[in-house]
Formats: sequence, C-alpha cells, structure tokens
Amino acid sequence: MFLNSIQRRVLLTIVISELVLAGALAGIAIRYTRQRLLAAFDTSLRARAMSVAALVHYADENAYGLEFARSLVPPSLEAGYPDLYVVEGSSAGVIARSPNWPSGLEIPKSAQISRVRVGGKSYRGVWLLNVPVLDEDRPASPSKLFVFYAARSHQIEQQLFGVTKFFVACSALILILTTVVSYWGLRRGLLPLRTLAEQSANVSIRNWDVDVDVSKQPTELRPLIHALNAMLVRLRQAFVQQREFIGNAAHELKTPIAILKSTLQTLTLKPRTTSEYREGLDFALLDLDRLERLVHWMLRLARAEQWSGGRGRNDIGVIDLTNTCEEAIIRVAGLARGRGIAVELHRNGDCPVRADPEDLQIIWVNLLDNAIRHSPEQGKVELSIVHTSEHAQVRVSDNGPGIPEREILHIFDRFYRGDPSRARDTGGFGLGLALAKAFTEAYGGTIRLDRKIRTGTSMIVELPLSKPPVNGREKK
Amino acid sequence: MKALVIEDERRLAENVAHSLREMAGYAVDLALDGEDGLFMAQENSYDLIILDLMLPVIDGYEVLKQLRRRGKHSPVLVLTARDEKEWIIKLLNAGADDFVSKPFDLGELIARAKALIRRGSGHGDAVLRVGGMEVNTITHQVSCLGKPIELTAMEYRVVEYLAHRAGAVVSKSELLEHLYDYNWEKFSNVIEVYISSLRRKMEGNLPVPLIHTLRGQGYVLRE
Repeated sequence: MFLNSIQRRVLLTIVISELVLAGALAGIAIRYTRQRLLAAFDTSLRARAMSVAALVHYADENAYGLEFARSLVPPSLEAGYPDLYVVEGSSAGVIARSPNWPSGLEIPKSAQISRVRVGGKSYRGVWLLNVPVLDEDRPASPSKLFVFYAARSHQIEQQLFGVTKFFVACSALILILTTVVSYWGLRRGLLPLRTLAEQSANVSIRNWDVDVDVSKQPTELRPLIHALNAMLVRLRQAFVQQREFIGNAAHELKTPIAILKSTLQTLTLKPRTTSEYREGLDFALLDLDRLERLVHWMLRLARAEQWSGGRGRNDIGVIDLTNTCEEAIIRVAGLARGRGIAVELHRNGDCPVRADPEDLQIIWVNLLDNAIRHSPEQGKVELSIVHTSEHAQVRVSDNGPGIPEREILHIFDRFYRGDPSRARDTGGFGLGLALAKAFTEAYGGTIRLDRKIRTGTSMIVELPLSKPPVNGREKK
Repeated sequence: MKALVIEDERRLAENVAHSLREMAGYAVDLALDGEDGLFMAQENSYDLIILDLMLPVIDGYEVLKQLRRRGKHSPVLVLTARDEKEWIIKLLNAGADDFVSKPFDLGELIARAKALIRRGSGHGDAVLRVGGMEVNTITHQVSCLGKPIELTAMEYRVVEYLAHRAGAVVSKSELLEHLYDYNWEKFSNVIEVYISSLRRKMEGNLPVPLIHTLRGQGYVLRE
C-alpha cells in the first residue's frame, strides 16, 4: 500500500497543505488582480466615453441644436473598430452611434457597469450621465449629454488567464522543489529509524544487544530503544532459562533411558525362559514409571518457573495456608512413621493466601520429606506457621546433621542431589527444592535456608498474605 | 576377571553387572556412590572399573583422578551423559581408558569391557593362545590342538584368568579375588578342585601339561 509508509504519509500531508496554500494564495491574488484590472478598464471606458462626449457641440451660436463632429472621430473609432458608443442629448435624442451599433440595441441608462453581448462577443460598457456639452462659445450649456461607451472585455479575461497561468506555474515549481526538499529531509530524518531496524535485525540468540548509542538518537526514538532493550533483557532471561532447562532435562533423561534400554537389552542378549522375560518386562515397566514421573515433575517445574519472575497468578482464590500444611503432614505421615519421626505443627490463627492449594502442598511435602529423611531415627520435625500483617512465614526444621557447607549453594539447583538418599515424592530426581523454590516464587514469596541455626536444618518460606477487605477493620 | 561398577542408579548398576556376569563371565562388584567406589577400587585389584560420572558424595571425575593419583592402573571405562568433545578429551586426559555415552548399548559396553581387559593384560587378539590351547574370550570356547573341550562356567573363568596372565605366577588368593564377587565366602580349596578338574580335561588332549603348580606360590600357565 502506498500509504503504508510514514515517509509517504508525511510527504502527502505536506503536498496537500502546500496545494491548499497555493490554491488559496492564487485565488486571492487572481481575484485582487481582476478587481484592479476591471477598475482600470472601467476608468479607461469613462475616459473614452468622455472623449466621445467632447465631440458634441452646438450646431448654431444661438440655437440649441447639437451636432456630432463626426469628422473629428479618430480613425480608430470608425467602422471596423470593435468598440461601441452612443451619444444622446437630454432632449435631442440620439445624436450619434458607432457605425457597428446593432440596430435595436437599447441600453438602459444607469450608473452601473453593464455587460452587453453583441454578435456573440461580450462587451463591458458604461453610461456617462448628464455630461454638459463642451462648447467654448457656450460655457453655460443648457443641454446635457448621455454617453454610453462599451469595449470588448476579453482582454481582461486574457490578462487574468495569463496571471493565473503564471501563478499556477510558480506554484507548481515551488511545490516540486519543496516536495523534493521534504522528501530528502524526511529520508534523513527517518534514517535513525532505519539504522535501528538494521541493528534490531542483527539481534539473535548469539547477540542480544541493539547496538546503538541511545544518547545520540533522536528523542522520539529513545523510548523505543529503551523498550526494545528492556524487552530483549526479559526475552534473554527467559531464553537462557529455557535453554538451561532443556539442557538439564535432556541430560537427566539420558540416565532413565539408559536404565530402560539396559533392562530390555539384558533380555535380548541371549534366549530366556518365559519367567525371565516376564521378570524383565516388569523391571522395564518400573523403569518406564520412573521415566514418566521424571517427565511429569520436569514439566511441573517448567510451568512453575514460567509463572515466577514477577508475574504472579491472580486468577486463583484465597485459601488458608494452614490447611495445606496439615494436608502435607498427612501425606508424609507414612514415611515419618516408618522412621519413627514425630512431625509437629505449630500454628496461630488463619493465614489467608492467594494460591493453588496443590502447589503449596508440593512445597511443604518436599521440605518435610527432606527433613524426615535427614532426621535421625526417633527424631522430630517441626512445621511452624507465624504471620505478620503482611506475610506468612512457614518454618520446617529438623534435628538432623544439617546441610554440609559445600552443598548450601546448590540446594536449590535443579537436579542437584546432595546425597544418595532420595526424596520420595518427587522421585529422587533432585527436583524437590527447585520445585519448592519455583512455586514459592510463583506466588511472590521467598524461600531460604536459615543459616543462623547451628543444629539441624531449618528452611523458611515467606508468602505474602492476601489482604483482607479494607472496610472490615477488626482491631480491638 | 573381575569388574567394579560404580553407578548410583541401582537399576542401571544391576543391569550392567548382570550382563557382565552373564555375557562376559566376570565377577562384578557394585558401588552406589563415589566414596564407596573409591574405597573399593583402592582396597581390591580390579581388572576393569566401570565408572559413572554423576555420583553422590564424590563425583566420578574426582574418583577417576584420585584413583590415578594413587597409582591404581586398572582400566577405567566411563559412563557419561555428556558427550561433548572437550569433556571427552578431559576425561581421557584424566586417566580414563574409554567411554560410552548414555544411553549406551549393552553389547557395545561388554565388547569395550573385553577389549580393555585384553589390552590391560597385554593381549591384542580376542583368542588367547598358550601352547596348543586356545581360549576364545568372545564365545567362551576352549580348545586343545583344535579339539573343543567342555568346561563349567567357573572352570572357564579360571582358565581365562590364567590365560590372560600367561607366564606369570598367580596365587590362590589372587584367583579367588578375581573370580568371585565381593560378598562371596572365599575358600581356597575350591581353587584346587577347579585346577585339578581343568588338568584332567585338558591333559588328555595335549602333549605336555600347561598348568604348573609352584608350591607355596600358586599356579602358572605356560608351555
């Protein structure tokens, strides 16, 4: 589309404005010129009428008969000349007419300019009313003259046409010149945009910068560049995160696949009995289950990590955090009983939070699972909930050996396994704490290890409380 | 021949151990983390170590470096999920002898294991020859002057080990250590039973006896 370009649109606007300007100016100028020309023409008509009037004099010294000195008529007003005139006396009637006066033509006497068409040609004429007879011998003239004089007005039109042509030609020339200048100026003006586009086209997964010096860019472009760069930073983070995740995932999938493959290959290495095949297939199914669970948790983690990064989910209802903790304790009860570990819950009042209860349970189950596994037999695991007006704080602590210093940095890493004992609920893939962190962050919270505790391990999760309605102030 | 498998995924470790026992006739020990693996590799002498890299407690790369630093020269076959060139070069330079990347083929793993053991004992051919006897380590067939002889699985293990160490004196305890898994009760008199059975089966087909007893030292297989 022609108008699908800023440059063309601006150019078109300029051209249209200039056309309007040129048209208006030409109109005004032509109108003014026409008035001037007509005024001059009318003046000359009056002058010529006067000179015709001057040819009338008294025929006799004492009588009042009037005579038109035809002999004095300049040759130019004789036959063949296009001008029309008529001279009438106040009482004598028509004294003289131009030879080309058409018969039957009567012009009403009026001070106004009159337009006459004679023989298909347009004339412009004027009446001189009550002109005294100019006779040297009879200074006080009793008779008055009425003189009509008309001339072809096509000259005026021709002159006007000439003027118009001149104006149009000048306007067109100026228009072309200014259009060229505007086009050039626009191109230059839009050059930074083109440069920016070129630089943006260079952005790829290997080059994440729009390489332009912002301070040297026009002010209109700066917000765009800032927005572009901010967008690229966010995209890059997401990209790096995804790539890292895919790398980790592909890597982590190799081991369960290797297990499954080796199980099946063991069966094919030599002929087996039916019961051996059956046993082998059972093992293969177990291996496949493990693979399935790993994929399940990886996807769950990928989704949770997508939500984090500031964009919490607001499409979910308010639930009581305490309930989710109770549910989680029920879910780890079997494991705790098996190891003879008591799980205690300390709470005070409700904690309304905006979250999916299933997600919160995953956090607590993973923390509790770790705590139970690292507690000595007959040990104790505590889950305590406290809250301020803004935050709920959940602390899961055990009296186990604590996390070795060299592992602290890595505990939240995906697929990091500190020791061979495995968290059951997330299948022992080293995803438990990574999941807990991703879900906590998805709801705008934080998770950390309490490093002040010297004995055992204490993990602290803080989640923002859902604000109660402002009108129901229940203090006191 | 005896191999140590250091691998934290129990199912994978068991599959590898199972097929090494079944298809190669090796005794196999398992270690489920780097610390155990390093300890076992130092305490025993293995003909082959199969080492995973992603191990709890001490990771596989560290196990490899420590083994080599402490003068252990058993062939090491690495199982790795990473197969970038730089990483493989780093592994080989740290003392690994070979690698397979996960998910690997068990047949290939066993073939590489056999090749490493062959190289480790100074042989090239998969068929070991001493005097008129041939031990085929691929088919587990033993023949004397071209005539195949029937051996039990344990007898084959004894003769394969002796053939690998042909010319060298092998003590009873060394034989025990290399033929049985870590957990087995070891009685040295079973060795005497196998040796005499082997002599009986071979000597009818050979002009001269090959298995010699050096009193108080052990056995030697030579012409």
